[in-house]
Amino acid sequence: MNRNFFKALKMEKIAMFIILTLIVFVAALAIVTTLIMVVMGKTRDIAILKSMGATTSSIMKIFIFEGLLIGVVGTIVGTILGLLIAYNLEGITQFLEGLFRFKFLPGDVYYIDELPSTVRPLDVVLIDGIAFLLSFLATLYPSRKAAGLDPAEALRYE
Amino acid sequence: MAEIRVENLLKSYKQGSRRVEALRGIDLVFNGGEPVAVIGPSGAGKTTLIHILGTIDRPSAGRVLYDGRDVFAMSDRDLARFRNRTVGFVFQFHHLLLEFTALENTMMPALIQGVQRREAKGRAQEILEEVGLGDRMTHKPGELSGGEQQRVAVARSLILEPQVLLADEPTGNLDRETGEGVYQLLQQMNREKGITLIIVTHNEEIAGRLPRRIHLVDGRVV
Ligand SMILES: Nc1ncnc2c1ncn2[C@@H]1O[C@H](COP(=O)(O)OP(=O)(O)OP(=O)(O)O)[C@@H](O)[C@H]1O
Ligand SMILES: [Mg+2]
Repeated sequence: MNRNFFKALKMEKIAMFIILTLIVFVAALAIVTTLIMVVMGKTRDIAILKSMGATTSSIMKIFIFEGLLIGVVGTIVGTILGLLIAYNLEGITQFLEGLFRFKFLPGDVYYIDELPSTVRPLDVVLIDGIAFLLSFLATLYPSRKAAGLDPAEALRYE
Repeated sequence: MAEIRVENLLKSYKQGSRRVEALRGIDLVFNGGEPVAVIGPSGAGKTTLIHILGTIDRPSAGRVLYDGRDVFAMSDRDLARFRNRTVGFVFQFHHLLLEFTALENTMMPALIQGVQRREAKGRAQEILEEVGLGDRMTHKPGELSGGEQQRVAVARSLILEPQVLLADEPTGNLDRETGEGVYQLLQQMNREKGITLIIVTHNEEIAGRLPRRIHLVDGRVV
């Protein structure tokens, strides 16, 4: 009995991990695509800056900075929201259960009838660190693309 | 005042399986401080030549020497620095940064060079006064007329007192009178500051007034 229970819990943790990884992956992709769009929209401006003597690395820095800004703001907002939810999980589940007349964990099926939640500071720091690192990595490809742009081509036309 | 020597310049573009020869062996010397008109039919390679002279494009073969220095032998970083200090561009389209004011646009090359903001601002104000835009400094390009936009572009190209000013049909999109104003401004800068002025133009009248004309046809000087 007990062994099955822990097995199930472990499975759940793995499933959770996979889902979270996918979410983070999609978020990182969102930064990549957003930046690629920005870079495409700024083709002319990049070419203008280059024609005035801006170096490849300074152009790269502009877009890495923009990507990091998205990453930092996202991480901070995400952390605040996450912590708010984690600290008020009981109230939130009760509210939702009341709203939809539905029990997340019916006591007659599961051993527990509420979602347990603890905030582990180390986890928070670790996940924030990873989120920040990922958003940095996500900026590299678009920034490189921006910096490598051929100015002559972009300046030929309106 | 830079002397620019162009040796056997070739430029070809790959277009699918075809090769387009934009420049087919150009040999030229531009003397320091000399105003020169580059003329020729559409597709002759004028823009390509200007871009290569200004080092924003690389030739397929041949060399460009500024006072004897082979510019394309430089590293990318050095070339960017060189471009920042030596070359000013005025394009057919103003190519100003739309989110920035006339003043900020004019400051930009100085900021790229690392000049202090205050100092860059002072210099930009001075130059905008000089081109007659003292009362338009906080306007964005969208709030300026075509002639004013082009004068901001001229101010921007001059803020670092380049040795060479490359202008690619700078009056192409302006009416006769406004175009004449921009042209006068360019010539005044050439006279007062000894800047080597290379100006691409379809305007016969403007070309005719310059002491030297280079006629390009089909990638060659004729
Ligand atoms: N990226 C490119 N790919 C292929 N061909 C190109 C490219 N850029 C320019 N060309 C070709 O090179 C030739 C020279 O072009 P360039 O723009 O230098 O002419 P131009 O003399 O400035 O003409 P215009 O007076 O119309 O501005 C043209 O035949 C043009 O089609
Ligand atoms: Mg052209």
